[in-house]
Amino acid sequence: MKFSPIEFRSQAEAALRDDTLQAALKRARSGFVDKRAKAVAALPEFELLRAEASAIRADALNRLPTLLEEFEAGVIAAGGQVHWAIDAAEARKIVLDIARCHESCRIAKGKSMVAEEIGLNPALEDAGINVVETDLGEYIIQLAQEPPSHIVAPAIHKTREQVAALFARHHERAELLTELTGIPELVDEARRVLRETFLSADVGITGANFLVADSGSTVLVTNEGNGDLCSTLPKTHIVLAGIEKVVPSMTEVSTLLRVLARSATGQPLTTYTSVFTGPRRAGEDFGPEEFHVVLVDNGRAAMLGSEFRDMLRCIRCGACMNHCPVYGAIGGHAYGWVYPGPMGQVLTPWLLGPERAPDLAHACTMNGHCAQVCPVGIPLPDLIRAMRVREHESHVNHVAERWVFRQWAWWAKRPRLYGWALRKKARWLRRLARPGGALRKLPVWSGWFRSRDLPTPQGRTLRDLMREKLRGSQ
Amino acid sequence: MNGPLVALFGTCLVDMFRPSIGLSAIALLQRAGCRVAFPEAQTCCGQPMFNGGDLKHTRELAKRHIDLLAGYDYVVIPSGSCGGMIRVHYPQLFEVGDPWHAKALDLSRRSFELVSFLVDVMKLDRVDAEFPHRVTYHDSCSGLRELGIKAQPRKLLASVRGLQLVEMDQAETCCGFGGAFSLKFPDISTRLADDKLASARAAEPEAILGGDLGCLLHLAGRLSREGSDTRVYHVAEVLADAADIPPINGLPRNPPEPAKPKLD
Amino acid sequence: MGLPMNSRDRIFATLRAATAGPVAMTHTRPHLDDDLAALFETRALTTAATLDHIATAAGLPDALTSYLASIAQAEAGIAFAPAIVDLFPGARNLPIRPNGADPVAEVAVTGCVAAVAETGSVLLASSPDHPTTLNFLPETHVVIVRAEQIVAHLEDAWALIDPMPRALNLVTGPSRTADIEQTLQLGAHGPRRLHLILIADR
Repeated sequence: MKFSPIEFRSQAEAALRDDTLQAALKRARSGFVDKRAKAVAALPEFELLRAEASAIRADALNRLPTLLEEFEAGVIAAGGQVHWAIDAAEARKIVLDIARCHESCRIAKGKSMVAEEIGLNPALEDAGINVVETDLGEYIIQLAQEPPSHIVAPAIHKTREQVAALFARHHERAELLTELTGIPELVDEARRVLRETFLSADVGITGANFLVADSGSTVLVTNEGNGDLCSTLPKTHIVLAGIEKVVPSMTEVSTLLRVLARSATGQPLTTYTSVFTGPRRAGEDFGPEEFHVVLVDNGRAAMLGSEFRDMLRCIRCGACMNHCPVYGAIGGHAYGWVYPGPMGQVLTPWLLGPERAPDLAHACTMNGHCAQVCPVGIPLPDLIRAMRVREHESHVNHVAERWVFRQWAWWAKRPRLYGWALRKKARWLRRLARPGGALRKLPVWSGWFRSRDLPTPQGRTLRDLMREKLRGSQ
Repeated sequence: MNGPLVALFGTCLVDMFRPSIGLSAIALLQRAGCRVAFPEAQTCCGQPMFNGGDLKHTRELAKRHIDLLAGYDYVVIPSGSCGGMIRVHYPQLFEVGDPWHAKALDLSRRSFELVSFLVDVMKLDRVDAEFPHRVTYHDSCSGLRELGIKAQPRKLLASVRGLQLVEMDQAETCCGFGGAFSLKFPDISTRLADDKLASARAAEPEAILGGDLGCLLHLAGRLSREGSDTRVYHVAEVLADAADIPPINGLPRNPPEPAKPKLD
Repeated sequence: MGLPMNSRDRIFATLRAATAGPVAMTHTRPHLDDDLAALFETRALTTAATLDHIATAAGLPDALTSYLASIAQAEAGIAFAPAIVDLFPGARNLPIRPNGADPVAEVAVTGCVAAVAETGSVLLASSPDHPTTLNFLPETHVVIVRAEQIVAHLEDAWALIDPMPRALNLVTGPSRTADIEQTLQLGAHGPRRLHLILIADR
């Protein structure tokens, strides 16, 4: 299934009509939101920690070059290698070159949003490299050949029946369709199949939640343990990370961990928080012999110097989408790219260019719930609005909309004319409405009237009533 | 009288669709001891252009209103979103150091949404009104998240005789209006309205109240299309004891000719 | 001048143009009850780990035997981390071999470098004496915790680590997933069971 941000409208409409998806979204909505609320309520310091987490991320961004140099030196000192990728193509090439060092390379991969962003899997597959996603959700959507629909729960849109059908087809055991009726059986089946993947992989690829400058470590959090198997068993471990992920030390990581899982899944901490520093040490029988960190820019450095700088604080918890009413109505695929929901409404137009995602920034009611729950205080509605400004100023937005604003402002600067126009409009609407009722249709705003009436104006405008009152009192 | 001099900023929607909200606001302010003025040159605060990304025209309208509203002790707005525009966003429109920034900040400090002004500034804790109905309250997002309006309307509603407030479980969830959003993405907007109304309906209210006419027109329009007899009123109308007029969604099925809105 | 800049230089050039001053900061640790051992136990149990108390290390073999019997794994092969194998005199230590080689252990028994009361977690550091595979490959992971290893906060645990090992694993309960219909299921890829044996005394 292919999705594209330019098809946002049609994808959103299809999503509204998809009953299976709607049932899954409803479950997700209450699940994530309630769990976060409980976790936050159980930690009295949460709002203070949230403010500190915001400051930690803002401060790290302010001195990103220094922290990255320190991180790089730390990785090298620990025996690892650091690669810098200015864009997606270079990042793909770096990973491919490392993978090609192994004969008939097999890759076990943990969930990485950067890997999705740079289109890593298709590039590896085109090069004949076998790459298997090992996060259960990612594995399911890899089998379904779909992109993730949520950054924390990639297969949130799938039902157990759909998963059973995928396993039966791809594990080439038709009987699975009848055997795998429960979620425990499905998880066990994936565990059994993917264990072989871990044991036979030459290269493990994971993302990183944080990079630690003072030790050259990468931090990865998972609940399943798949990231740890990817980073322990294969001969080579490749960590893919955006350049913005670095923080000074484990002290800052502690604060970020305290807000990350609570915001994402409502857990105080994910099951596995792992800190990787270089390849296997002398005397160790396990752990990778090669440790590579691929640091991906892909538009981030430029973002740092833009009005969207605060977006780089993001720690990818997914709380913004979990609390977004629009995401809750249409799900992640409608957004058409790696990052759905409010974060995607900033990142996608930035990373792909607004002309390739012209509707995203507008698919927001400005309700502000995302910013209220963001663990690092990203002012998402302001950034989404700033994206609209960018579109307006580069003439990406619709010509009719520009005309409406110009007209409206022209009238609004002329109060007498404005008052006259309101009076006329109110009268005109009353004439078209049924008595005492609402308007059912107008020659304009067909979208509104498809599903809603328009209440009828009461009659006189407020300014006319006030003028009369004033006259009466004189 | 020597109460504070308050300018009512009516908002475009109230001005054109439902002046009874503006009149209710004036009544409430006067009863709270304010001297109320209605600056006649007020028009649109610029919020539609602001949210549309047209900063040039937003700034033009902001400057007009910053000047227009300069001489008053307070500016009161019966809407969380227009209130948020003036109080929160006007200062963001100008660079720090620009004289307009200082003027916008000054206006921001004097500007309040109606119900929060009555409770937080005028220290009102009760009103003289009667509305013998079971109601539920929709927290409009801008009021809730930009201006922190949550307890204030509930405090005053608690003093309305006969009124029973039943909270819906999704009181703080967006209703899907979102200004231009409701026109650009009508199907998503309607889905959100339906989710909201389903949550409201579970509270079995006779009326849905809220503080922002935009949201209320959207919810009322949906209810009207469905033929529902749940009535929609602005909270100011109830608090001013002026909700004996047809609700925002009009009268369902074979309605009699509506009584004239109570104007005084 | 002259040489074309590589990607690293170009990235740094762009970043350097956008640096700014430091942000004022405080660092807060959540308030915890004074009884860290009790808190550790409470929080570990909420992560779906199980926990046993013993008085001294001498009780370890019996505690392990009775735990394995309680989960119907009395006959299971056991891999002991070299660091703690001496605490189980006479036990048969099977390897957890990732590739083939029977018999393979289904249970791993390891120590830890710290236990964190704040989160109910154990901190495991990789070394020749404690291979990381033991933490992730078995069905059941048994971790020995000495009471004096319990620290209050995450920061206290990190402070015990110097230098950084190849892998530092903070483990909080058994492996889990909610990737199918948001329904929590234990034992996704890592151990299905995490059992903690808390030794009160040296």
